[in-house]
Amino acid sequence: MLTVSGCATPEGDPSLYRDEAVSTLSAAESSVVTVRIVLTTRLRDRTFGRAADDAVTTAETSLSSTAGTFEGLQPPRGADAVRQQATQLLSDAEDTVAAARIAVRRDDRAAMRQALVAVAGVAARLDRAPEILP
Amino acid sequence: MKKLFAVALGILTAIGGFVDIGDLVTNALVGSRFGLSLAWVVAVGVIGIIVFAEMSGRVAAVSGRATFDLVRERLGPRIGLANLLASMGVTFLTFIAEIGGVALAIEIATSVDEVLWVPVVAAALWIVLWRVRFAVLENAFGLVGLALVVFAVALWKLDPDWMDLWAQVTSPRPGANETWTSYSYYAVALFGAAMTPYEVFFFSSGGVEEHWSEKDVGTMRLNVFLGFPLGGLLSLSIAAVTAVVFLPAGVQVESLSQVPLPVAIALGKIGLAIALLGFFAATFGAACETGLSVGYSMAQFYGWSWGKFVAPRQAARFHAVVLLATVVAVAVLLTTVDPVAVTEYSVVFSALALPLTYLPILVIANDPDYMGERVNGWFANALGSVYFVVIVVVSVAAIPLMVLTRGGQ
Repeated sequence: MLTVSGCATPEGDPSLYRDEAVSTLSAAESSVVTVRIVLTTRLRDRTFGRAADDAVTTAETSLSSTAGTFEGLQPPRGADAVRQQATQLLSDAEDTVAAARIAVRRDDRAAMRQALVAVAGVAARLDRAPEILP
Repeated sequence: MKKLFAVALGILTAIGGFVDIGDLVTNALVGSRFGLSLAWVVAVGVIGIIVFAEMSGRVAAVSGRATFDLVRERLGPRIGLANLLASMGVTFLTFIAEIGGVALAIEIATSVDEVLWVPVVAAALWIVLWRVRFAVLENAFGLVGLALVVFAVALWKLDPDWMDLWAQVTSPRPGANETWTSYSYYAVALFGAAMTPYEVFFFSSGGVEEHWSEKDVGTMRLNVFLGFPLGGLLSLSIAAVTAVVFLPAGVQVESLSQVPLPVAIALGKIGLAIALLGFFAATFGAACETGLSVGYSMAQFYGWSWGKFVAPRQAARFHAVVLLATVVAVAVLLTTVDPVAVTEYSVVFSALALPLTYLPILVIANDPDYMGERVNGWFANALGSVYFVVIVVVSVAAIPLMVLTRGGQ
């Protein structure tokens, strides 16, 4: 009986899961704000297209890895709302960063300006995450 | 005039050659997370490397032999082997990180994945190590590495609140969202980055390559006493620009592509181009130094003919070790391991290996049979002993802190 219970997936603590979500969203915010800085710098023509592309691509890779790790966690009972909100935020962040990468790689100034607005919005939501997560 | 030129060149190459991938990544990361609250660690590390580099340079100048050439003879094969395994292991890890750093620097300029650049970089590196004269190799990359002064210029151009930066320097404690454990972990990493073992390996072996004698001790000391502190200031300027741009924005540096962004903001494309040139020179120069150091340590331990002052045919085993190290480093990097992660681990493992690297220097620099009248004085011994205690404490703390912080997270 003891052996069988030892093999079961631990249920986990909802408050620890929430802490993990906050920490993940903070790491995601770091990647998103990096992209915001790169877009601003590129739009002011203060960085090279290839350097901007590399910085955005690296931030996107980091963001995907951060999001993937969190999404792979088993949420404890009672933490589904936290998971739902956090994964939604992460998904929005990934979408806006992908749009920024496409715009930078195409050197499309109008799309970069649009992406900058979207990225700034997601960054602000990520910044407020510790307060708005249930 | 010729002497003055040699002194100036030595100081400039010491400044430009001080920063490597470990300093670049660790200082940028620490600046973005802790501001300048860990600046004191850079100061402590720079004084430490000055103390031991001066000793190892003096040993090379007086005895005509590199410090680690004497370890096996003076301390016996067992301690010599422990020293070889620890120092060479860490130097090899640093070598991998430096090659990855060069590839990352080229990736930023080309946006072609660094993994594709690794074999190209390694081939170029091996040709340089095989064909280029020691003095050219040391001076060229050291001088071009001075391009990193662009970080100090960028800091001035960013027009930060200098009082706020000074307040960070004088508040040696973690910020609101950080813990003492992570603060201590990065203190160990910064210390390891400043006192990387290969620096003394290369410094003392380089003294033998350049045929230093007792009359060169004064020049060597000027290079160390002026070049290293100014190199340390260069490291601090990297931490300062990331503290100014990234810390208030909540951005944590985790890739090399983020490091030149503050320079681009402050100075535009020209500044960015100079920073990338500095990255390339600093990492390629350090890759040369670490690659040679792997060969030096092995050849010196086994008593083989070594160095670039002899024809490659006469130092075949030394060059074979350098080539083998390059091939294995490429194989490791082609597994797509993140060079920044390798760098972060290399500086912490450097901290772990410090006692085994620096104890032999202290012992040999105190031995009148080798040093004659140039044996350590009371001041060098007092500093050396205090630093040895610090090094042991840092070494003991390195792994527990790495585990507790999950690698600094």
